[in-house]
Amino acid sequence: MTKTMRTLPSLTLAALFGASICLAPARAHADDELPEKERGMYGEHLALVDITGMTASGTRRGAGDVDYTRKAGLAEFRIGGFFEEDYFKTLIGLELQVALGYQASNAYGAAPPPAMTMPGEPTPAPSAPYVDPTSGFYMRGDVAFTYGLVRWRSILPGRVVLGAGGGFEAGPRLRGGEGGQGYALLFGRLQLWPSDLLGLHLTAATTVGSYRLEALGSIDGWTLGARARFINPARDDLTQERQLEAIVGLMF
Amino acid sequence: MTDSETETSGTPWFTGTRRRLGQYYEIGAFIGNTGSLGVSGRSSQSPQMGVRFMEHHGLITKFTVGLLAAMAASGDRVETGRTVQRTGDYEVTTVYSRRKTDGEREADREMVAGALSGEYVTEFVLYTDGLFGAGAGKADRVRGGDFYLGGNFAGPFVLDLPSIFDIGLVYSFNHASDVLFDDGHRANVEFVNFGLMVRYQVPITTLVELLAQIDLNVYGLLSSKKENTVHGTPLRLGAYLNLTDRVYLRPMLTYTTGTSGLGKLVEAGIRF
Repeated sequence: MTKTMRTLPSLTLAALFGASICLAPARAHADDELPEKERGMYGEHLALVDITGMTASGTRRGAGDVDYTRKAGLAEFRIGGFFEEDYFKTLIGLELQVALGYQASNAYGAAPPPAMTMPGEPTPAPSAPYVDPTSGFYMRGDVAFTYGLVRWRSILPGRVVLGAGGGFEAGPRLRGGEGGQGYALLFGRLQLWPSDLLGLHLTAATTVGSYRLEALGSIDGWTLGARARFINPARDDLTQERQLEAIVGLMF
Repeated sequence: MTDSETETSGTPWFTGTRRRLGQYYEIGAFIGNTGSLGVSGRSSQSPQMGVRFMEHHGLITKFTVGLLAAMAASGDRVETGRTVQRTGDYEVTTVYSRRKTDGEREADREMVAGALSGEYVTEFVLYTDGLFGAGAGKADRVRGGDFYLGGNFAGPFVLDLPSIFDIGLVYSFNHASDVLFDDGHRANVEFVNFGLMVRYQVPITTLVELLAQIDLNVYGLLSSKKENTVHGTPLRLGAYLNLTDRVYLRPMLTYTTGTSGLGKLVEAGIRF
């Protein structure tokens, strides 16, 4: 990935974030309210229980690159809410998400092609086999302070939320073996409420080296969504993985 | 925040230092050169860029300080003494303690409650190698950061706007590698500060606020001098130029005692 490609998303996000802040006067939100049906759902407070199916594809680095796929299923619980406003009417809140999943072993594609040898030369030793990540349970926990930066009511009510915190995940590692690691977490979320019953929640998140995009739609609390996760997309020397998840859940 | 604190007058785009009576956050990116690494033998200052985050009367610091206070208050016993006996290769330590009195337990509870009810100002300044893809790779760039934790109170009003005193603890560690000296040799230079910060911010209008700040280096006063290590006290003079309440520029001059040269930087940021 070129430097420009890495820089462009950052600049675009910064410009959108800056514009939404700059265009909002300090005390512009005194009278606004959240849509009635979203109260207690994904409005001021939220609780989401969902089950998720995940399919992953990636490229392992080592003695020759090998593509693989993997499937997993997980259950998630997300809870959070805003509990006060600051001077700029920014909503201040907290959000917690825990996930417990089970992943199958990697299914590898074609083996690396054998090295070319000249007639009469000894055949080189075969490449060391990949250490397959063990199939097994894994868990992930995120906690973040959330800031409802800007919200509006006209035409299409909505809100922009910034989240900052950290998380911990434990289970099979991408490079083999098992273990756990902590990470910092930063996310931005655009929420739209086309009607009292309908909510749309788009989230872009980043941790060190990985990115996550999530789209959730809810109708009277019933929720469908999709999530894509990109691990090490800018590192050609590390195992790279793309995950796609389908989400079914209930907000209350 | 009380109703009286949320009262504003005039346009909602400019409320000036009234914001400093409430809770808010400030994030900015800055570029310039440091005033803290001007050791003898250098004719230039190290370039400096990074980000600054300020939590003003916010919850992260309140939770953190409350947690630390709760940890300090934990335990039901007070150590009253200890003895050490040595017998051959063995060492036996005996610790004497007693249960806390009702008064001590009540004092602990009050300490935790006081920590949770406090209004804190926290600033975290991180120097980075690059910013938005620019500036990476300069060898003698300043690395490290500054950390402030304290509180504030309103001083005299100017034009119906409060002036603000900040007071708190400061910890700084700035360093630069392979710094070129005037005689051609290169060496690492560092600045360490652990002490007391005092700042006074006075409004001129809702658009312009001046601030003067001293980061008194108590650690520097108590420690011995070392070559290429700065233990001086930074004196800062700056201003907030508010484009709106939410968007600002913050130019700053820094002179550190015992060094040569003047640090100059400008920060652009937002409040929310």
